[in-house]
Amino acid sequence: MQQKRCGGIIAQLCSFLTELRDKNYNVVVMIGEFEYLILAATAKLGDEAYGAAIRVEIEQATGEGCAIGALYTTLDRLEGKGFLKTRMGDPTPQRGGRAKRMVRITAAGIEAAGEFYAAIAKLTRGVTWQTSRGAVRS
Amino acid sequence: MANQSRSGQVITGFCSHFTERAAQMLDPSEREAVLGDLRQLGVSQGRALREILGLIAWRQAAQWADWRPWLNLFLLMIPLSLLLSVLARFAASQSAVYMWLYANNLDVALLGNYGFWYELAHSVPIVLAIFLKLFCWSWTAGFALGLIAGRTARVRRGLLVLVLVLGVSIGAPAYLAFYWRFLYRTLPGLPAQSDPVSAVWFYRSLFPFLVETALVIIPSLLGIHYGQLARAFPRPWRAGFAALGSLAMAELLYQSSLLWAFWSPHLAWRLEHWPQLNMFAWIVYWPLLYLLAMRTTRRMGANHLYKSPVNVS
Repeated sequence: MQQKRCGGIIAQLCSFLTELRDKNYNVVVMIGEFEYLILAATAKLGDEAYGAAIRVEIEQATGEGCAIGALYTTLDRLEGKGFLKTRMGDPTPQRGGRAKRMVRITAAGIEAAGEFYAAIAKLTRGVTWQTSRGAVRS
Repeated sequence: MANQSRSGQVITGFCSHFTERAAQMLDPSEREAVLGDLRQLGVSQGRALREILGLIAWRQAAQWADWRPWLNLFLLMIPLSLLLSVLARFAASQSAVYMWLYANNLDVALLGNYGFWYELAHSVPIVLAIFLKLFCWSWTAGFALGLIAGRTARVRRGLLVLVLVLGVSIGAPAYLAFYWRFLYRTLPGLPAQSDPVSAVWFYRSLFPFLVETALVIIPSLLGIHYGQLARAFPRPWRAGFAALGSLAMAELLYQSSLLWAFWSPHLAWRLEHWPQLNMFAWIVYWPLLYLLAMRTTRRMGANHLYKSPVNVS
């Protein structure tokens, strides 16, 4: 009985640690919407993709502010997943002599963004975003 | 109007200064890219500061999402800090007796007494040995934390100082009160602690904080700094430092067993009669050798020992 309880606790602990590891190393199949926005902006900008340019693209597309903290941590996460590659560019006077972090999308990134877009497109097929029917008053 | 623009300039300068200072917490390449982006986007200095602080918060939160920093915090930093705080209080009460004896009772007649000088020559090395040992232990604890901290080091430094201050002001007095109560109950013949030394406010209240600051807080912060620098050494060196640090920590536990093993007389007796551990007593002082070696190699310009420039943020 005691052994069984210990086994259960160890199994729970292992499952908790695995979950934590998965969270930390992002063993997640589908990308998130902000990750998609970054991948899309990077793909659109091509060779001119870097932090400030991606931020402007996202802000213009969404009409919302994009915090640099969220942008850079997501860039790191996407790079960790192998969806992006970054390198330091040359310094420019326009930036006070500071270098850019140039971003390029990888084949895996294109595939992941494509899957996300396809899922959204499939899910929203036939849905009209008009507030007349099926909407609950907030 | 002129006043308004002047105050605006002051605020902008203030924010600009703090933005640069805060950005030091980021990796060098990231700092370069982020400050460049903010400059290019033309955001105000106030907003730039907010954005940089936001990024630092994101970065720290990401570090602490892992289980290892928490494990280090609860298994290493907090127990060590509390033990060092207890030791600092204990060392302060031990050395305060000597200090009170000489500083509070000194007069011309005493200076002419041969016995006074004899006793002084006997007690000064005792106090210095207590202080030196505490310094080395604190440095080693900081070194161990710095060696494993990585990018969470800055937050850990803050946490360490906080735990040490709480330890010396709340944790250690409560623990030592329990310790003395236990001893009086077990050994009723012990002399009372309400001695003339603890009756003096300076020795009772201020002196332990001075000892904690000078011999625990400052050395442990110094140790964190050196521990982080040691991360640039090749792996075998780091393994050697980790082994030395572990032995020094084991010695810390062994030599302070009087303070923590009292609730189990059998365990305390066993530890007291374990001469093998005394063989490693000198290891406690390894920080002195390390600092000396660092100073010598730096003078000789032996920078090849370092693998590459290290990120100490």
